[in-house]
Amino acid sequence: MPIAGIIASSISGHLTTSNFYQIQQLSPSAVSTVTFSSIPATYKSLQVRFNLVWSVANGNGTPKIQFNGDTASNYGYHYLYGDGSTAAASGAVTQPSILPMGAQGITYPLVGIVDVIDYANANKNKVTKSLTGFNNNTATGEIRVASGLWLNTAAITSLTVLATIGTYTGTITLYGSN
Amino acid sequence: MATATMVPLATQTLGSAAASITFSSIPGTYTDLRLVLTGTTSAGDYLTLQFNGDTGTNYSATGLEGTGTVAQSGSSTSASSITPQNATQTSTTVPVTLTGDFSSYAGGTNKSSLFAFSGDTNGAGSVRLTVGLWRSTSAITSIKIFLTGASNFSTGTIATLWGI
Repeated sequence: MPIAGIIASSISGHLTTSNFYQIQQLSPSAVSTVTFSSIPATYKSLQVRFNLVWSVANGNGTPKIQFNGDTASNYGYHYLYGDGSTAAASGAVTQPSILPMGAQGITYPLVGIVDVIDYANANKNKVTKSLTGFNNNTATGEIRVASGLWLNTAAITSLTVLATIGTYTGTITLYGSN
Repeated sequence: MATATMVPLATQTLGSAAASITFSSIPGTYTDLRLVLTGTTSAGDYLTLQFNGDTGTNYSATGLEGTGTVAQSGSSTSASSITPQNATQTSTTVPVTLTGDFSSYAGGTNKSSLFAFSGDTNGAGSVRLTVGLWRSTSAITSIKIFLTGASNFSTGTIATLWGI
């Protein structure tokens, strides 16, 4: 006889057992740029998790990410996305940043998770994988999975999240994993 | 030294069939939560989620899905739960997998979450990415996972909630 439901309650006091470390957490308020600098090379991968609300609603490709202060056209990306009615894919080369997301709003948070694999290796170009999404209880949301490329073999020591339109408020956290 | 995080808060392994799985009394001491569920059900059905016992029409979602033959996108508005699944029903024999990342779950903004669903029944299958919205500024203190068709999760279904 099935029971009505299973409930786990009183969740507290658990041990930390993972190899996933919080490096730094930022709480930007109405800014267009934040930078994680002096990133230690002691992890195998980085992960950026963000929850951001914008000052203006737009669908024109923000936030963006740059590495080591490089603002030149050394980035590329490809993505697959759904906007609530259409599934489509696109990409670009020789860009000034990678592009985790294409839409954001002023009331409901845009959220994302960006993985930067083997970021400290000084012998290979750097690639990222991201999953980002935004929904505002209309048909204009977006969910996107993307790859990003930085054509540079330098170890990543800083990471910048920038808005090209408006400003953002919320939380951005950088993690390292082994 | 950076702070170690990603902590398993609770795991539920069903010893008997159940209509729902609920994680309650979730502490507000982490930045994000991650849910990982894999399991079978008593009939083909769709996974769905509610927060804090809210059964109102305060949920919406946008999804991207591949079924093996087509890629498609859809959305829901003013729904009574987030259903991060569309084309492939759960199975009585082959487990489906759902992960959910609940961003800034304890903060004062509305709650946006990311989901990844995968199901394959050796002939039909789908993978779906979903962004879900709960229009509430309350901290998430409980998460209920159930099935829209009112079937049951089968014995052996496992769900783990992590704090990050």
